Amino acid sequence: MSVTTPPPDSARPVPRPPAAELGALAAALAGEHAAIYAYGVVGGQAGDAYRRASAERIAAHSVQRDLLAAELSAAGTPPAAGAPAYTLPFAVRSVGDALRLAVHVEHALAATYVDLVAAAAPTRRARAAARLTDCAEQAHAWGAEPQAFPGLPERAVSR
Amino acid sequence: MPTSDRPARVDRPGLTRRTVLFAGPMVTVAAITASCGLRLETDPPPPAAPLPPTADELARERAATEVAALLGQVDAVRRTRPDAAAPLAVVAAAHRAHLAALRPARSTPTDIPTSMQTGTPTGTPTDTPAGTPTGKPSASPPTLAALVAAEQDAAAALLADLASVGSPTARLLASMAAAMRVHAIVLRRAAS
Repeated sequence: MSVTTPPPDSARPVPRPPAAELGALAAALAGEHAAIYAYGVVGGQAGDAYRRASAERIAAHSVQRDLLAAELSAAGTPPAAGAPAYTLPFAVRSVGDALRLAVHVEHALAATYVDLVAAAAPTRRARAAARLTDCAEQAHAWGAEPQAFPGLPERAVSR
Repeated sequence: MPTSDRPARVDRPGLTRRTVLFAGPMVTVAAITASCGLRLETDPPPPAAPLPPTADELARERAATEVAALLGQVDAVRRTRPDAAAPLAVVAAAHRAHLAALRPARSTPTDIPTSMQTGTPTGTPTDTPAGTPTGKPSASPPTLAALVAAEQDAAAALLADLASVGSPTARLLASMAAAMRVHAIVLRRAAS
């Protein structure tokens, strides 16, 4: 009679998240890729006063990109690479445009993280919520008015 | 002696034709009601016990209580810090929207079942009149700094419920918590 011992935690396979969560993770990764590109544009147009802040956001979004890619890889889904270039939502020709683009990027990412909160397993929602909060705080730092429902454009309150 | 084809009347005590005609329908009604599980009673049946609130309902009510308390604190600070009226108005408007989202079908807080109240007086999604206590009781008027801390605490409380609720409630709570963290930044700036 043989006795088998259970494998250590590190050797146990990670349960594969459901398709909806994988889709939300992939959407968030795509958003981070786009954000990194957009902040390059922001840094180029916003001038010296905002160049450092743009670089910090590129670094922060790169960290999130890598974390999301790692989560997808761990789930057996190859993470998509970023595109060489992205179409901007509007032309960026001034400092004001650059600031508006930064706000747009953070608001768009906030929406993807709200979707990830909804799609994630209950125990993984806190991470997505933390990312959502970071996006909301950064949008405000770039000049956006506080929103009652960050990431929920359908609940936007008109003032 | 005249004869008749009619049979002679047979006396059967206790079972007259009238009795049979009357008893037949009664037996039928009794059989039908019995088969349906009904009983013929004069008293109405006792009301069914209300269903216990779901995890989502409890979490929404906890969040609404937090938001109502914040709204009360915002109103109190507005009276002592008119110089911060603009950011406080933004925060108050957001919290009124939060209450409306959390209690969409509720017009007054008196509808809240006692079992779902958490001990803190709650307010309506409107500004409360001066002197009406809605927030957590305190000895002195709340300050902007205290409001910053309260917004952060409320955000943490909402996030603590994320793992126990359904997806629609989770996205609502996460969004509101993010808004509260931004409020803390706005109010900290106003305090400095």
